[in-house]
Amino acid sequence: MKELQSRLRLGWFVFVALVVLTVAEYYVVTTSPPGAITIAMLLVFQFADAGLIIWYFMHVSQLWRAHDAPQQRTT
Amino acid sequence: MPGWTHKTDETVQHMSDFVLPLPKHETAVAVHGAAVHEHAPASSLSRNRVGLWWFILSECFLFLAFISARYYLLGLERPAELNQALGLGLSLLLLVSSLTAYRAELGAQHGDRRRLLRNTATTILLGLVFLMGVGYEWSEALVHFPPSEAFGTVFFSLTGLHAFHVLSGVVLLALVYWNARRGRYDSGSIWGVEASVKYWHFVDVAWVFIYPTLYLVR
Amino acid sequence: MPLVQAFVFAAIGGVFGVGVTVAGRVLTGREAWSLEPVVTVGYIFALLGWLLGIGVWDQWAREWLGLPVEHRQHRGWARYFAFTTDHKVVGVQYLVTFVALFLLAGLLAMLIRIELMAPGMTFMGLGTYNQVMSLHGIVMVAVAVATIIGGLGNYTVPLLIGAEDVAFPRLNALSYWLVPPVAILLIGTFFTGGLDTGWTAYPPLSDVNAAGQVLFNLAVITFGLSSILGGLNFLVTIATLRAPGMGWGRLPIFVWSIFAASLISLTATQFLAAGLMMILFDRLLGMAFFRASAGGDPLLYQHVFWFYSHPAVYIMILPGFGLALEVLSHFSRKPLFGYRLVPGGFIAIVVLSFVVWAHHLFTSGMSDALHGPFMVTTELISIPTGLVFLSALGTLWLGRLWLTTPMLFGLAFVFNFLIGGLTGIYLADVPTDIHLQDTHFVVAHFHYTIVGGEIFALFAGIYYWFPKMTGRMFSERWGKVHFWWMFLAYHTTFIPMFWAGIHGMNRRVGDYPAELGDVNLFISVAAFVMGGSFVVFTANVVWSWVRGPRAVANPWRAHTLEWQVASPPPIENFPATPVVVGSPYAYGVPGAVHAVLTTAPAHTPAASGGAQAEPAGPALAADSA
Ligand SMILES: [Cu+2]
Repeated sequence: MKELQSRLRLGWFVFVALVVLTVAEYYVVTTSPPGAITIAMLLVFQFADAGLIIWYFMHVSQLWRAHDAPQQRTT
Repeated sequence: MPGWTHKTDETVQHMSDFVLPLPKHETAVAVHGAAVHEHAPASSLSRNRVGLWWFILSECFLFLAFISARYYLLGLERPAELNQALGLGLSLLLLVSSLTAYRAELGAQHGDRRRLLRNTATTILLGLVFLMGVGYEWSEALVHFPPSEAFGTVFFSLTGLHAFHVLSGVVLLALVYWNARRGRYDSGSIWGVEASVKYWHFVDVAWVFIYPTLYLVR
Repeated sequence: MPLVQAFVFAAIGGVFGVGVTVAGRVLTGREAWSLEPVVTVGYIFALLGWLLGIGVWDQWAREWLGLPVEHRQHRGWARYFAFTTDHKVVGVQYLVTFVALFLLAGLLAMLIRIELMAPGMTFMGLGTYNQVMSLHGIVMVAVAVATIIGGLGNYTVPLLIGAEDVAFPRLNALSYWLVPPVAILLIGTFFTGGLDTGWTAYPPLSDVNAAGQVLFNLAVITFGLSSILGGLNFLVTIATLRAPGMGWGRLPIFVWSIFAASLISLTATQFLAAGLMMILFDRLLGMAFFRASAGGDPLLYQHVFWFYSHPAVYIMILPGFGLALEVLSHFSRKPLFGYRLVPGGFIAIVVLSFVVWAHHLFTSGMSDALHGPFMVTTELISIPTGLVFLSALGTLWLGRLWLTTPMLFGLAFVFNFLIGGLTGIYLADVPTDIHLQDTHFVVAHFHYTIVGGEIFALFAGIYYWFPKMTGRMFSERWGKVHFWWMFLAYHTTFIPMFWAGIHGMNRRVGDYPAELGDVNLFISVAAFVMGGSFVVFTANVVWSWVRGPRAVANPWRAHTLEWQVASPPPIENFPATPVVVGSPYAYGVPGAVHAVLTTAPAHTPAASGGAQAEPAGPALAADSA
C-alpha cells in the first residue's frame, strides 16, 4: 500500500511538472521574439515534456530492466 | 570464438556424418563451455513490451513525415487566426488524461478494480472532450485556413491524423473498461491495460510535438 | 472455409462502406456517386471485413471481448489457404505467392520488350505501355521487398535462432493475409482508368490522373502495413527468442541481415504511406500538399517518397547480402571471413540509407546546395558495402568450394552486384547523373543490383533451403541448367542497356530514336531467352516438390540449426530448446560446436534463464561415443 501511495504521488509530481513546462512553453514562445533562440527553447520544452511522459508514465526503463523484478501485479 | 582459418572442413569427406543430434566432431567438452547460460528466451510479457515499443517507434515516423511537410511547405510561418487559448487548453486536457491513465494502470497493478474503472472512465471522457475540442477547432479553422490552402492542409491533416489516434485510443480504453467490469484483470495478465495505457501516453507524446508545430513555432 | 468467410465479410464491409459514403454525400447535399471517395471508404471497410473474416475475429476480437476462444489449426494442404500461425506455413505462403508474382511481372517485362523491339509504337499504345511498365514496376518492387524477408526469412529465422516460432505468430499470419487485397486492388486499377505514373507515383500527374491511382495508393499503403508488421515481428523475434547461448555474436549472418532490413521496413515504410496518403488527401479532400497553385509543392512528394524508397533498396538488398554470405560460407566449408565486422556494416548501411534520399532529386530542381552533401553521403555507403564484399572474397579465399546450384547463384551474386555497385557511382555523382538520369543506364543499374543481386541471392536461398522446406531434393542438373541459362542471358540483356542509356535511350517511354533500334532488338531477344530460363526453374521446382527424391535432414552438412532437424521440420521445430555453444560457421575448426540438441520431450521454454538450458547427458554420450 505504501508503494501505491508513493507512486500515486509521483504521478501528481510528473503531471504538475508537465503542466508547468507546457504553460511556460506557451508563454516563452508568445512573448519572446521569433528566431533561433525561441526555436531552440521550444525544442527543449518539447523534449523535456516527452521525456517525462516516456520515462515516468510509459516506464521505458522496463525494456532494459525487464529481468530484475516482476513488473506485473504487486499486491 | 574460432577466428578466420585457412583450414577447410575435413568432414566434407564423410558423406554420412549428419547424424542427429550432433555432428561427429562435436565433443562433450565443448558443451559445458562458459557461454551456455548467456541468456534465455524472454517471457511473453517482455516480448509484448518490446513489440509495442517498436510499433510506437514506427508510428513516430508517420507523424514525423507530416510534421516535416509542415516545415517544408511553410517554414516557420503561422497564421494569426489560430485559437491559442483552445490550443493550450487541448494540450493541458491531454496531460490530465495521461495522469488518469497512469492511475488506471496503477489500479490494475494493485488489483484495485474500482480505481482502474474510475480512472479508465475519466480518461475516456477526457479523450472524448478532446475530440469535441478538435471538432470545434475545425469549424473555426474552416473559415480562416481551409484545407485547400497550404496551412489548412498541414493543419487538418496533422490534427486529423492525431484525432484518429485519439479515437483508436478511446476504443482501446473502452475495451479495457469492458473487460475490467467483468473482472478480467483481477487475476492473471494485465497486459491489455498496460498496452492501452502506453498507447494513450504515446498519443499524448505525439501531441507534445504537434502542438508547437502548429500553434507556436514562428 | 475461412477463405469463403473472408470474402463474404469483405463483401459485406464493402457494401457497407459504399452505402455510408453515398448516404453521407446525399445528406451533405452533394452528388450521390463519386468514384474515388466511394472506392476509398468502401475499400477500408472491405479490408476490415476481410481481416475479420480471415482470422482477426477468431484470433483477437473474441479474446478482447472476453468471449470463449478456440484456436482451430488446419492440417494438410488446407493450412496454406487459411489463417495459419506456423511460421513455416506463412513462409511457404509468402514464397509461393511472391514467386508466382515474380513470374507474372516477368511476363509483363516480356510485353515491354516486345514493344521495344523496334522504334515507334508497334505492339501497344503509349497509354497501355505506361500501364504495363507501371504494373511491372510495382509488382517487382513488392516481390523484391517481400520474397526473401517474408518467404525465406519467415521460414528460416526461427529455425536459425533455435526458436519454436516467431514472437507474434498471429501477427505474422495477418501480415501475409494483407497481401491478397493488395493484389485485388492492383488488378482493379485496370478497370478504373489504369495506372500510368510508374511505381513512383509522382505528382502532379498522380494528383490529377484517372481513379486507378487511388486504388494503387490504397494497395501500396496496405502493402506497407504488411511490411511494417512483418518487420516488427522479426525485430522482436530476433531480439527476444534466441535460444540459450545464441548471443548476438553467434547469429547466422542471414539473421543479422533480416534484422537490419527489418529496422528499415519498420520505420521508413511509414514515409511511403505518408506520401501516398498525402496524394489521397489532395484528391479526396481537396488538400494542397502537391498543388503548387494553392501553396503546395510537388517536390515535397519526392522528398517524402525517397526517404522511404532509397532505404527500401536496402530492405531488398540487405537480405540478399546475408543470404549470399550464408551460402558462400557453407559451401566454401570455411568460417565467414570478418564475421564480427559484417553486422556493423549492415547497421552502417541502415543508418546511412536514411541520409541519402535526395540523390534521386539531382535533376528535379531541388536546391543546388544539397547536391554536394547528398553526393558525399551516397558515396559513403560504398564503405560498408565494400566490407560485405571483403567478407565474401575472404570467405572464398582458399576455401574448398562446393559448386552446387545454390553456391553458383551465391557466386554470381558477388559478380553481378559488383557491376551494379560500380555503375551506381555514375548515378551518385552529380555531373554524370545529370546526363544519365532517367535513361536506360539507370534501368540497367538497378536491375544489376536488384535482379543480379537480390534475385540471384533469392534463387540461391530457394535452392539452398528447398530440401528443408519441401523434404525433397531438386534436380541438381536442371538447377545448374537454370543457373547458366539465366546467368548468361541476364548479362546479355542488361549490359547493352548501359550502352543504350548512355546514348540517350529514355526510360518509361514506349518509343525511342530510330538509331537505337538494333541494340533494343538485341536486348529484347536476350530478354526472351532469359525469360525461358524461368520455365526450367519452375518445372524443376514443381516436379521435384511432387516427385523428387526424399531429402535427408542435412544434405549440405551445414552447421546451422535448421539442418539439425528433419526435412521438413516438425511443427514445433525442435524436440527441446537447443543450446548454442559456438559459432555457426566453424567449418574446419577442430572440436568446434555450434549447438547441442537434446531429444528430450518438448516443453515450453520457461521465462527464467538457465534451468532448462542444461543439455541432457545421455543423448550426448551416446553420440560422441
Ligand atoms: Cu537511392
